[in-house]
Amino acid sequence: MGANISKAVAKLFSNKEMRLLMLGLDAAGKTTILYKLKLNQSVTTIPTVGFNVETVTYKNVKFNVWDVGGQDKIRPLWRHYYTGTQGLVFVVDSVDRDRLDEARQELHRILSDREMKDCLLLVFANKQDLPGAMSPAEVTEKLGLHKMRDRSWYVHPSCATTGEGLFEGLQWLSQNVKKQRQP
Amino acid sequence: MGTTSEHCSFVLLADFDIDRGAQLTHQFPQPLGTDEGLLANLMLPDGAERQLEDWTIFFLNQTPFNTIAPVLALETPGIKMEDTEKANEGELLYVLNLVRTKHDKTFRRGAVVKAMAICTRHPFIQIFKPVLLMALDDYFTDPSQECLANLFDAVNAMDISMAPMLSRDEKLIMRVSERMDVFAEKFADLRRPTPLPHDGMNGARDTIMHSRNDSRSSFEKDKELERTRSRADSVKSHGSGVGSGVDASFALGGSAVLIGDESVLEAETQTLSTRGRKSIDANSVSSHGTRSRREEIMATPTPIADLRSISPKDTHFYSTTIAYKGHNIPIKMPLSTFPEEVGDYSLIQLIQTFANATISGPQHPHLHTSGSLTHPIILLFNALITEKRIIFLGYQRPAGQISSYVLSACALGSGCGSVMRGFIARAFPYANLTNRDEWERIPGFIAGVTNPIFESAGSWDLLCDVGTGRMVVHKDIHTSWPVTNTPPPLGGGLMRTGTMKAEGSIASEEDTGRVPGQPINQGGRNEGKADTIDNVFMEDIVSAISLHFPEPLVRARFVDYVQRFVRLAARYEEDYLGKTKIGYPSTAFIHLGDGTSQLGSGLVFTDETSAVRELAFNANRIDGWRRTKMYEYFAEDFQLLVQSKPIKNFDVYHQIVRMRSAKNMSDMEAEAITRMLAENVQTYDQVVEFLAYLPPHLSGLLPVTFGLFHHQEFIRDQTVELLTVLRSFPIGVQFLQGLNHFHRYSYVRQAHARESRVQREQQHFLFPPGPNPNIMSRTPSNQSESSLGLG
Repeated sequence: MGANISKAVAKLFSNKEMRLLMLGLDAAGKTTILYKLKLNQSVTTIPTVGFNVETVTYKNVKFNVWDVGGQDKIRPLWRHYYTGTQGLVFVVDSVDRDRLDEARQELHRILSDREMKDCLLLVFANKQDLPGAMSPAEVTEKLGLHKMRDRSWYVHPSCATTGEGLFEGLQWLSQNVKKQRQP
Repeated sequence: MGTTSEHCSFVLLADFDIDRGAQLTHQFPQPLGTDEGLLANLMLPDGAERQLEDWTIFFLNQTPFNTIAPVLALETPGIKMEDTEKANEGELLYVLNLVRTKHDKTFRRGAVVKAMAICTRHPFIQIFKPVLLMALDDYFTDPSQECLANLFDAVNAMDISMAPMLSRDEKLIMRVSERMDVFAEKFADLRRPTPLPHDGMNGARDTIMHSRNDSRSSFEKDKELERTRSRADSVKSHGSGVGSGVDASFALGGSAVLIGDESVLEAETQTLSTRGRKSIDANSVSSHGTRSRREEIMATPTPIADLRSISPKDTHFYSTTIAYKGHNIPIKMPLSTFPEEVGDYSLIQLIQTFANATISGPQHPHLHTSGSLTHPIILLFNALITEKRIIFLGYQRPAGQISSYVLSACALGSGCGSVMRGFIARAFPYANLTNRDEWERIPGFIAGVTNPIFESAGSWDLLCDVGTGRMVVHKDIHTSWPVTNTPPPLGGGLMRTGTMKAEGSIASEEDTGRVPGQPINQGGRNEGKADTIDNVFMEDIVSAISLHFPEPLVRARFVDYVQRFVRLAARYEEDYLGKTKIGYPSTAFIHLGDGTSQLGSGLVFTDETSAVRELAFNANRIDGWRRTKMYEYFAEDFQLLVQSKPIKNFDVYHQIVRMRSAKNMSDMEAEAITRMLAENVQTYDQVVEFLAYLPPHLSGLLPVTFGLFHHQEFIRDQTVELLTVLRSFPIGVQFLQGLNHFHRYSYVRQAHARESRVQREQQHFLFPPGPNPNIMSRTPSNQSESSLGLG
């Protein structure tokens, strides 16, 4: 009972919670983004064997961010995290042109899952600080997002090490989650 | 490959490839024939990169998904080829896995994560930890299949052929004995014929030990030798009139019973001035039959020294070594563990973590046996025995730690493997998302996970969060486990009357007592009682732990607890179904008119009211347990036990509990019990079974030795006789040594008196008049040489 009351109070003060799932090919920068958001520090990361999960509060919204390792052999595990996800943060290495098509395939595979049909899509075109990085427009184009109907999506340039663009992404998510299903 | 795979069936190696992810790199000596991705993911647990080193434990051959299908059949010692396939099926393989993360800037992305695992049939997997550590180190420096081969060969070359094999009862005794020399004779028996491999080393170590407990061991070893020689004889002669007295005499020095305390010995010699030290000397003579008496006293008896030099430091373990690349890694193999005890689990750790856990979620009659005041550990126990699906969650904890909680829980539920089985088969000490669909489908799984995703998206009934020490009962528990209206209404009037005549008069009281015993159908709104038997028990355990009582004692207490639970269940079946397959019928001692009597059996309660209360308290979880696989196993095991146990035809446990706790026991019952025991405890196996019911933490032999002070001579005599049989075996001697001085004295005094009485009678018979020089002889009748020598 007590828990219910506090939940009601939380709703009243619009302390929203949002569950995010951060996916992407290996070495795209997911874990670096997570810990930049969490600690506001650029940490050196090593490949994630399983997952990381952290809570990041930004403008009164509590983001529960799950970051799951992206190597191809462990991608089949992604589906286990879909249930209850309100926003997918798909991280793209903007320099890795060779694998952008692979990223596109993975992205579409994720979004085709029934559990993900209502979730928002935020794409970070990451590693913008590196020379030769693709522009957000190019990433949008190559990921085939324009063809995507019935889904709110947003591509934002980012640099995980400096943190540029990250909070803008969260901002978009928190603004759009309101408009989405309010059960 | 010439070696067998007796100890290690496979060695596996998994890498976390930075481009591809978890992958199985090597399988030695051959592929397991199961999903490689699954193995790799189990070997590289979630969050492995956050721990520099971690252990995971998982099993194979549990579900169709993790059943192995090697191309070449596994070698199973003692089983022929055609049987091998059958043996492989269903035989659990335990996998001990070590994963290590090495941070190294010179590698791309800064770290290397590798894991190596041993698949073995031995449940005591912890013994392989040191060698696995070394082997993985070697693999890091030189990644090749050679490393796996080396490990495989080294482990399989381990020699445990000389390790004593203990029977169930022997294990039960050893587990609760704190003595480092319990069943030392088992080692002696095995080792004597062959020269020792590492005699030199052991010799040096054991001299130290020798000097430490000098005063006791010599006598003990004496007894051992004596026992090996005379076991058969002494057994035969007991209970056969005069012969028994004479035979018993040879063991009656009092020395072995009273050893370890020189002053007592002195006192004994003085008190029993007729015997004096001679008795001890005589004792040694008889034990080394062929030697002359003088020599015996003077010389340090060499066989004794031999025995001592080879007896291990602590007989709870068998010491051996694994020779790995020029290192001799010492291995201590536990001897008294049961198959349901995997790895080096710790009940203390489990209890400490959850003793103060907050429990949330709805109440369920199977689980909340004391309502809202149910102790968390009892809640866990209830969930375990009623086959609820249990998850141990440890976010950001090492997977090895979580595995250990799962294994501890299995031990908790099974009574450390000595009461029930069927826990390990559904345990997934480390589980993750890879095959969750598989293991989540196993009824009553017990899984350890590090991923908090399972809390929100798992199909469990009870979640135990190791990190925060909380327990959550799933909100859908009533949907998954609908509360049924069985058990049938209590006291249905049918059964009790016949069986418990003595207590028949309390019938009305029973009925009233049963009304509060209906929390059964009240599900959610059980107020809870603080003073239930379970809560008192847990309070006791928690305080024992805070007083630093050791793990074996805590285990022993839980063994007793689970024992009592199954006995209660038997009584419950009797009450509601009219009969039981899982226990002895509950009857009190009946004295029949014609001078014969029938011993009681079944669980003993202080009075019938408390019986009713306890049964009502347990009814729901018993009902839950009766629907599980474990119940079926237990019923099978019980039937088997009844058929195979050495002491036939009566419920020894009942008699011992009566002796321990009964108030105002009638002389007739006391007489019947002591007679039954004296008659039926004769052989080694019977002695061991008998002693297994008398663990030191329940004051050992004390309930029996009270018979030494009974006002009826017959009971005193029978008790002396029984104790004398016990004394003819080393383990019996150890139990006698556990008695307090008063009881030990009393025994020695009465034994002497009895012996001299018997001898007097005999001599009277043989040489009616005059004194006889032989009067002091304590020579066994079967050792003619010494008797001649003395005469």
